[in-house]
Amino acid sequence: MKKDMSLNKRRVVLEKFFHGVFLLAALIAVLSVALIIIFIFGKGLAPFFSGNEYGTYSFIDFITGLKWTPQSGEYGVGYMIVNSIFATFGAILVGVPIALFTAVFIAEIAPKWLAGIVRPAIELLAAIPSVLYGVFGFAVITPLVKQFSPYPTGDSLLAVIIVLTIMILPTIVAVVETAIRAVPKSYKEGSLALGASKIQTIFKVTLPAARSGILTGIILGVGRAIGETMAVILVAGNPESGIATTIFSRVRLLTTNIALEQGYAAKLHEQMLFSTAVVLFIFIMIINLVLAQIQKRGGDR
Amino acid sequence: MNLKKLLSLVAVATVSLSVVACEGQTEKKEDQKTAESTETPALKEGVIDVVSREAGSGTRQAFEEIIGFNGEGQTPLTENVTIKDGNGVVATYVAENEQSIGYVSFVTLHENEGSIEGLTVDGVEATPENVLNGDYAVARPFEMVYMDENLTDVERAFIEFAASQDGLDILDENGTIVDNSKAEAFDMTKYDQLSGNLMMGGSTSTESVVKALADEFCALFPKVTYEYNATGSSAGVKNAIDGTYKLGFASREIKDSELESGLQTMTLCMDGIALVVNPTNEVEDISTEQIKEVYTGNITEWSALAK
Repeated sequence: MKKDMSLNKRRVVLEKFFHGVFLLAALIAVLSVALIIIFIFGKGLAPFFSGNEYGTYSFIDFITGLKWTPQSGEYGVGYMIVNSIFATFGAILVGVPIALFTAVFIAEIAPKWLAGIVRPAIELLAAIPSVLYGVFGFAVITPLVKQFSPYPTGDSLLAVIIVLTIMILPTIVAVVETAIRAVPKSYKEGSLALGASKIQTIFKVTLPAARSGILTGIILGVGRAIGETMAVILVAGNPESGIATTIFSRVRLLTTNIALEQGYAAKLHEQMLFSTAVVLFIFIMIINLVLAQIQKRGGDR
Repeated sequence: MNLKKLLSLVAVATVSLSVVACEGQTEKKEDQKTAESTETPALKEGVIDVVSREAGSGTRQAFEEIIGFNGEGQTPLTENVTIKDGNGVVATYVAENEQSIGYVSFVTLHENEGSIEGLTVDGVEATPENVLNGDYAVARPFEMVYMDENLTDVERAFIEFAASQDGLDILDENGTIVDNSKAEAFDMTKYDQLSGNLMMGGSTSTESVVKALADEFCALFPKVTYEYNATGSSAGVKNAIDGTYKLGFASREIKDSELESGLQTMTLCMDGIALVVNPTNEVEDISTEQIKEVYTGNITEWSALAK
């Protein structure tokens, strides 16, 4: 009897202990996010309030400015915001159809052996470190773009879009394929039984039924594209001013601005780079909110 | 939303994007045709692709200081510029792009010989020898300045250390150009039991090399500490004169007006920057004035540089 009690007690202690371990693990993630937010916002918003030790800067000038020249004290990220949006949506416009068809192909059309080749290839694409995409872009894509460009360099919005398109493919394909596979077989069978062809079934039944998954994939792709840095920095050209007027224009994006200059920056310049990070952070938060909304609605149906 | 609609929307948008792109291209070409004689067939031919470094880069600051642009009251850097981060990246980029001009440290030029080509500046080749004898223009001295009456044994030992073979080796390792043909090894036995604080300051460009020297110096004399305030060359000289810094540092030549107070100067080392182009480029020489014109956007065509 006594032995039983102690066994029970030990069990309770063990239970409590593991409760603690789980809680701690969860707290590390939450704490990290909180620290990052405090750190970035604390440093990044300081220049917009009076009393900042390195001098203040107008928030409006910052957001709408079309010139980033720290040596003359101009910190405008307006053109980078627009360029980041251009690059991201460019990659989505090109990448989504490709990813969608790839996913359909793997899930519905390809014979097993072929799907067995295509799927690992796409998965491998996801595992390649982003800087390698940059080197690939630098060595292959920019020289190619240069052939068609009216400018003497291949560093351009187009090169950025091509690199980003390749980079977001695996993310979208993986999510969309899962969504397509999750469509109940009975839908498809019903459609085929009614006399619809295979392609008709895919476009009229399977894809619409998987739309919430498709949207999730797209949003994840947007998230990946907008946050990408190392690959983009090598093919963007990174000028100090200017919204892209053609797809052959050189562009500077929010992410590359931070990565380019963080190494040397000090004082107000450094703070303004954190301000750039704040803008980027807000972008990512919006994307996450949209994602949560879509998933919630998808779940309701 | 109907998925078919979504898809067609995407398709339409993709097409229109490429149409916009093509329009942009033809527009540019037409502009160029009307603006110039028909001898140059495409806009890209003959246009200089100006490459610079990221804001804050030491090499960039040095380059802009020496050439004399983008500073306060000076002509700014051209907006039509490609920015690359790092000497190596500039070298790789120029190696890939036939119409580019960039600037890198001598070390980088040496490492990439064959894939990029250094221009002669005012007819002088970019070699350490030409920097040391003062012929190569895109170079500057790192000067150490002090007032003799402010010095104690700690500073004297440091000055001696900086000029010794040991000191010059450190400067050499840090990428600067030194003349160590006449240097001798540092004799630390003279300075037994040295202790105190080295109060130094000045140029931000000299900060890293001076700190490298001082770290090594403090390792030799454990009781010695140092401080370096990176306040800029002019502040370095001014504070050396009034005694705030025992040793001041400037990454430029000392002006005559600054020497009037009896300031002593010693050139630690030289810093040189090479102008580089693609090996296929036929231009071989550029003048300092032309460098300025190119980087401020007044010269945009290679033909203006060819002789």
